[in-house]
Amino acid sequence: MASKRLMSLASGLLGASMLLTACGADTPTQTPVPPAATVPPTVMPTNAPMVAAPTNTTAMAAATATTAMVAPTNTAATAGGVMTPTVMAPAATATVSGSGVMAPAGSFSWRAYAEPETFDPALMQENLSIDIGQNFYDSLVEFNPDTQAIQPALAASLPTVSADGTVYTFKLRKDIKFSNGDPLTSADVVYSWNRVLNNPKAPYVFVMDDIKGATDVEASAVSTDTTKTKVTAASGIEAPDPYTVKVTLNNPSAYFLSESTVWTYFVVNQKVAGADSSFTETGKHLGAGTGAYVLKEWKHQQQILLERNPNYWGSEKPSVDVAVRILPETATAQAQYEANQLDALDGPSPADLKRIQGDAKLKDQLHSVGQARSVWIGLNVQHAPFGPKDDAKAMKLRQAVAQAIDREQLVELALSGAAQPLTTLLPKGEPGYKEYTAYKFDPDAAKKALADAGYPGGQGLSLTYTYRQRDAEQRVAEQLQSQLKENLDLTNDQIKIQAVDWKIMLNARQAHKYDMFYGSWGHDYPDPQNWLSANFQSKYIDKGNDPGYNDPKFDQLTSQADKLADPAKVADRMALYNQAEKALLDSATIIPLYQTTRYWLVNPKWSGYNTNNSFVFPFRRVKLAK
Amino acid sequence: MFAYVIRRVLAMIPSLLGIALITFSLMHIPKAGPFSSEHANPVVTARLEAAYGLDQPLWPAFYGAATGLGQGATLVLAGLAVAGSVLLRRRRDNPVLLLVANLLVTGGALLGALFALMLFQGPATRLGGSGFAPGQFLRFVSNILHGDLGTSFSQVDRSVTSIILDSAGNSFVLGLTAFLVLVGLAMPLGIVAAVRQNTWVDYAASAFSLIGYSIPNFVLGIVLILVTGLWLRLIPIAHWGDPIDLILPAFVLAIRPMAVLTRLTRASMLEVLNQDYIRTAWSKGLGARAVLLRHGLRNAMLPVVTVMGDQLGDLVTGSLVVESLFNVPGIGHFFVQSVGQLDYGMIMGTTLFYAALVLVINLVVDLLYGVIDPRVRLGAGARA
Repeated sequence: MASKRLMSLASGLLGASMLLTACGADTPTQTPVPPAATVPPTVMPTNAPMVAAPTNTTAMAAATATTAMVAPTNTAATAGGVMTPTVMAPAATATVSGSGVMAPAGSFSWRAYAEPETFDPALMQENLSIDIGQNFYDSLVEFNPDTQAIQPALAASLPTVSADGTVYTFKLRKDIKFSNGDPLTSADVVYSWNRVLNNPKAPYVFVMDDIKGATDVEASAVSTDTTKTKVTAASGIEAPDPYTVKVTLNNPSAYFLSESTVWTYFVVNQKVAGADSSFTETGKHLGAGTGAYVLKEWKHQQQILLERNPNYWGSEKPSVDVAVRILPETATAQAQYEANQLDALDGPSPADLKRIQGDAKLKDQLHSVGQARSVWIGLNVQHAPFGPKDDAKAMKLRQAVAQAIDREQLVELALSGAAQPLTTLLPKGEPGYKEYTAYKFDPDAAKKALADAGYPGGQGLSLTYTYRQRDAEQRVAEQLQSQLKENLDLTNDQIKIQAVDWKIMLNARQAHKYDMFYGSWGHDYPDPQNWLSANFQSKYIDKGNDPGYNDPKFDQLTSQADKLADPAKVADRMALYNQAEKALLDSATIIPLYQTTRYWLVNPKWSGYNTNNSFVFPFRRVKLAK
Repeated sequence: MFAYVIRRVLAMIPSLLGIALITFSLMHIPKAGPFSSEHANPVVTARLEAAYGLDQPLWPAFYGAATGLGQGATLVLAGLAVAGSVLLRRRRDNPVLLLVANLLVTGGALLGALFALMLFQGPATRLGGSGFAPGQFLRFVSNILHGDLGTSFSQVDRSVTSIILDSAGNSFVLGLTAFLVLVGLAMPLGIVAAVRQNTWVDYAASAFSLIGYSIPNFVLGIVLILVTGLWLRLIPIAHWGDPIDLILPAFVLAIRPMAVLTRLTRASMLEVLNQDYIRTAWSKGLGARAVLLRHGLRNAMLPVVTVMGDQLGDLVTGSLVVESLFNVPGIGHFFVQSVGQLDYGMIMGTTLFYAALVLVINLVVDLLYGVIDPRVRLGAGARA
């Protein structure tokens, strides 16, 4: 009996001590410090020289509506909190480098939150593949990551355009070699682009649809009709001599230059890259691209080694090799980073940010940038209760919801401050962004509007907010529900929330099944056309215009702006888009909430690592800090 | 015995087919596809689905002008088969005819089910012309018979087989290590706890079991990573490639099954040790080792082996949580991720892989019964 008591006591003590270690060791409380050394988002001058609207709206609108950057299915990174909310690391960590060699000594280690899908330019579509893959290849022109202006890359200069705007002539640089020493010629460019057209699995092939003959090749690639001869080359892509590429478009499309920076246009070596993706496996990538790095090894689910290209043509030569570690579990990656076994951690857990910002050593290593992604609440304006759009009572209800939301509190409580409140569709840093608030937070006005809408005190109201099943979105939904209840005097029955699996939600949302839903957009390239026209013109009501927004004035303004190609009239073009956005926001069809922020930690022994609102900067810029 | 093994192996085939059928049906219930995305354009989605063969009807179907004729013929054949079977059964004396009758009724039932499926599925509108399309499921089955599980949609252009083989190997190594830790620690502990019942050893084992069962493995894992990796810098964090990397994840994986197995071994041993024949063995003067192991443990093993087999199956197929935490490149996360992404090839591949493994382990466990307890006769003479 005595030993039984002793046993219970011992177990009790053991349990208590474990509880204490779990709850204790809190970081000393501090006032929330904003992330130090915030890199200001790249400010887009409104007279962006390269942004030019297409003259051919139908082809362009179809193409731009479909240019897609699949948002990272970042379940682990943002939901790092699934495992544990905070990493309980002590403030004082030894500066001794971690035990065990992780990667080739002297290389820069970077964390990837998932296994990249592919490094075949024809098949790439997700941000992670592009963040890494952009280091292997180049296209004829590219966006300067600092200024976001278009500059020549493989081309010696920007192309000459024919008078009618349909023929673009690129002159290639003559000194470019692939990573195995093979010289680059125009034949490789023609091969690369036709390679994409001939691949029926290429998800982004439509960015080439403006080129003459492209759609014929695409159709021939999927056709099972054995009687017709196969068309394997687009007539609009020609190589009159080894250093000239001539592109003929179907219609004058001043948009083409922006499109040709998309990764689908990356040039590969026809002697190395065959029709399938096997050249992206370990040991087979040498010579496939012209980029600063070569894919040396791809140990699936573990790491990817990038080796410097000795034949790199650019002036910014890479100085270190890169080891990309695939670390889906954020807490593990954080521990590795703090043990100095990882050089750059892209995407620390939002729940961990307060601790990092309070940590004397870590707070200077944390950086952030506002991403080109905004999040909003979408309201179905096709039928009651939030529609028809022009019905006065429905308008009042939308207004009531808009005025009942406190964005600052939402971001602070639901996202731990890891986002920026936003009142427009376009996020800060995007060309065409203009500060504008349609409906300020005003609970009294909101209650009055609710009464005017026919629901005094919430009587008779029954709303459900549908959101995407993910940690961050769940916290936001819960916070929204609590705000609406408090500011509009509603009960739990009157405003409910429901989570739906993302893919199922996408389909159902497109079919207009929800009244009040989570909406979000991240751009494919920096232009307001990609935000406004592609998502809210009435012709896309069943093809992505999920609220069912139908406004002839909006359609007219955006179409006009889409066609305004004259580079001297950029300010006018932006003004048109601003008017259209104002109309959209005034109707409260969407209620913008916040703009996402991308955080990263980088060890101060490195300089040059950076991220803009879309991608990580090319790794060739990373070097040891002096 | 040999015949028993052969029969069991053959019986796996319809099991796997049934599992494939159920998984395939469940997989296609959500109204979404692997290519649904935020920026999805109906034209592009249709093209991708065509490229991967997802625009074909799910089940076998007649389409176009042949629809009525084909479906009618199916129904008629089904009816004829069943009728023929009924007639043949009259001749009960002839075993060959009985076999044929069985085959006929099976065939007839299948055809009838096929007919019902065709009606339920509706017309195959996306196909031009007329004819018979085997449908996605039959195409999948025939591909499997050629060893091709398809390609993954998320790991673009990589075959499902290569993904599974790559990652399953790592999960297997980790799982096996965890299993050895499990058996090596749990069984002795359970035996000792039973022998020294109601002493401090017994209570310690019970406490250990309770703690091991209660602590969530991700909490334990994170604490261990922090302590050994970050604070003490003993073990590289989230590294895979050296034997030392196996220790922590194997321990974390094993701790809960260890708790269960300890308790079970203890309980089973206690039951056996109270039997008369054990008392006889002691009084005969046999040593502790003979009594406890040869007589005691061997009799106690049956339930323990069953549970161990189940645990082995779970351990070697990877654990999502532990593998994510320790960054083990295993197969665990594919089970969850492939469903979320509606990666059809991976879902079928991982499910069938796991099912096949479980079936094999079950067979081994059943065979072990015969080894452990000679009274158990498997096969023709079995009564159990």
